[in-house]
Amino acid sequence: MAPQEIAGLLFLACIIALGAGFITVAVTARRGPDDYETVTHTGYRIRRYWFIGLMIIGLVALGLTLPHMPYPLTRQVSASTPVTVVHVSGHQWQWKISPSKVPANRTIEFEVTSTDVNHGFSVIDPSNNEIVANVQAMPGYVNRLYVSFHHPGFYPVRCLELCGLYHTQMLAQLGVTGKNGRVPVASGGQPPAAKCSPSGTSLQISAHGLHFDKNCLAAPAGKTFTITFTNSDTGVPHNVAIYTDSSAGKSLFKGQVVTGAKTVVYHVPALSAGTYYFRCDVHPTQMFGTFVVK
Amino acid sequence: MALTQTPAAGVPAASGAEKARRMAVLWLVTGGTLLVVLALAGMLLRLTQSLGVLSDQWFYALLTLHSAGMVAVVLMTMAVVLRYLIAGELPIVHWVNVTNYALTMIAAVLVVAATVIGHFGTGWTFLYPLPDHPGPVPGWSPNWAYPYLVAVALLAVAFTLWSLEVLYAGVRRFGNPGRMFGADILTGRSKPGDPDTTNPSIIAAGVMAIGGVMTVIPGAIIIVLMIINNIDRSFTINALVAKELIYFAGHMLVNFDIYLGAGIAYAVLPKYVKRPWKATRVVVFAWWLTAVGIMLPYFHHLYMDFAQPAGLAILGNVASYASALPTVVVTVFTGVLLVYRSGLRWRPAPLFIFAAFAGWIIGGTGALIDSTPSVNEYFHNTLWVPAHFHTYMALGAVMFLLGGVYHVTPELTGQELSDQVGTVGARCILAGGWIVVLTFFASGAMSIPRRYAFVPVPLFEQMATVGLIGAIIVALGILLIAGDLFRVYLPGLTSRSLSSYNSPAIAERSSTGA
Repeated sequence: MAPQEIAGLLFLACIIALGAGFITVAVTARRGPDDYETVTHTGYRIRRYWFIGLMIIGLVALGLTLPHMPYPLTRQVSASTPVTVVHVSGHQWQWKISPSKVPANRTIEFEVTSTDVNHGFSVIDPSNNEIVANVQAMPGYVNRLYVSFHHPGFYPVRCLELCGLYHTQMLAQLGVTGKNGRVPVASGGQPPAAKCSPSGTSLQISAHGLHFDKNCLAAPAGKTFTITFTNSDTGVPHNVAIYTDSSAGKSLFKGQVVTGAKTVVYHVPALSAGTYYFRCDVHPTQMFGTFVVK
Repeated sequence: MALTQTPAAGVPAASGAEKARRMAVLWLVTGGTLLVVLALAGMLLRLTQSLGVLSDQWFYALLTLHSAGMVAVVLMTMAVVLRYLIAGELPIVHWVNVTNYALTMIAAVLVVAATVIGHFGTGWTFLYPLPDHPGPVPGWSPNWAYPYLVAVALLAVAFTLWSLEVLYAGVRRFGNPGRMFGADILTGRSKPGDPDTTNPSIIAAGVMAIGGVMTVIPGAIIIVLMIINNIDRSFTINALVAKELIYFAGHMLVNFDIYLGAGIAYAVLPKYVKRPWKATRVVVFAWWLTAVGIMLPYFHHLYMDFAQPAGLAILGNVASYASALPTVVVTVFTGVLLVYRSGLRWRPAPLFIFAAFAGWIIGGTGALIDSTPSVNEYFHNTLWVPAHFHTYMALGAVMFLLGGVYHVTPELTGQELSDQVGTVGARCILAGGWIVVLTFFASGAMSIPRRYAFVPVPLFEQMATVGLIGAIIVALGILLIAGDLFRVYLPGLTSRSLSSYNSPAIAERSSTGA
């Protein structure tokens, strides 16, 4: 069971117990009045045990939880343990995560910072949408968080510290690879290589909330085609650019950057058959997909 | 006026009594209006998360207005009610009361302007450097940081003035601070309830006053630094230092909201259960612990800022747990004992006070869970955070405030608020309020983040809709009570008559809670 589920159930038990106590006292309050000296004589004795009981619970809780604090003090591994270091930098409103793929069952050291305002770096388990790692990204500081991921997949990364208008769009992905060095496609989270087929030479795609509405575009090989691009993000610049692969080292087409809300029609020269990569150059870690030409 | 064993009914000394009465009426009418508006703003936030009503820009602006406004209005209104309740022993210095009212109203106008007109949307915590760094697509102009920061400064000055006035009045009354805070009871030189000894409400107000004076220093420092930074961007502030200062001041302010409620409870509840709440050695010692215990836990706001040394996180954890003991073992437990088989008739005043104890202890339990660093990693900045503070603010502090208001209304206005409206309103607020907070807690346990207009995860909208239903029920209760409040209080704004104020019939009602 995840820690938040355990804590939630514990809290539910406390609510039920405390609620029952208060309701009982409220319902029986009309009775009496009992002599207050007698009430306090018994009540103060109960209070003594209440106090001792709470002290014991508190000390046990401290003993159980302090060794599991998320700090390097309690989580830093020995020098001989293999660690994969991931550099994370938050910037209004995108994450730079390098490398963006890490192996499962290995200690990952996230070195997290911000280049502008405070952000909250959180990694989400794609199977249940629950937090598995959380640390603040602070300007001028590098916070080190040690985590291990046990299940391969694409883990969403979400910002948890209010950082401006597009705070909720500050998303990214962390790939956790399996033994074969690959991230399984059907793992929850966002699959990286979608499939689609050409259906004419007039393509359409739009951007909203720092996301494309499609993760796959397709065009016929050897023919010029158009891409009608609608940028619905008012005041936000986007474009559509096509590269040979996700490294974006070799460009096949670079569409003009337009600031929303605006629609532009790109005229793209003919491409030879192949599976390529498209992205928004302004938001490359959030807006990307597969470009199929056949 | 001689002290009685239970806190006095709140009838101030003859000089300045009418001024104190009229100022209290003015405070409650204004505070009540603002609370209703702010509660409706909060409902709009849940409406947006459920149905997408507002744009993100408006969502964050209203979020900032709702959160900053609630902390400030609840703080000042509760401070006024508690101050009024102890005014019989500690007469109020009128010019301080008037100045605080003016400062608070100017601050309110500035915050409304910054958020509603300027769409200033940093959340009430205004973390550096976000106010003047809204991003490439700005939700607000950095210039709107000025009115917001000035508003926070004015509020800090107002609460500091309140604090200094309480301490001045207390030392003047008892001759030295020790006796104001019950040192003579602790040492055994006096017995609880002896003539000329302090009482729990005065001790509570005094401890809050000490905290208020402590809070203004870091608050003033960070506000001045951030204003300078806004003027000259080359003047930068260390991000960790800025957070420590902001969260210390913020932590203290929200804790004042709830601990002031304890002071109100000490004065009000005994009148209805007809049992005394004395400043025993245990009560005095608990408040002395609280004076320190209210401050040290604040490090728990920076658990996820690993730049803060781990030793301070451990201190924050231990202090958070320890600070709960005076509340849970002394105040709430004694409150429950007072009510237990007391023959109580559940009028609105004791109903609100007793419900507030439940909200405080349950909200506090949620807070304690989150104040554990290894758990905070999974709850930090999820909806668990607003869950716990809405529980002990809306279902704790505001309940204490309403209990105090229902109790003092006959003295202030010469009329009673309707018991029927109050009871129905209380049931709506409690039923709806617990739906709101339990939805927040469940959402937080599911890692749904706070301060998000929309989260693309399963059940987000459904949970928001359930929370919205709760908020609508709360709004119904608030509007019912507000309507009755205005019916009774608005004429009191222009009434200059002392006769109803000092009438024996009203004094009799106030002293027995009949």
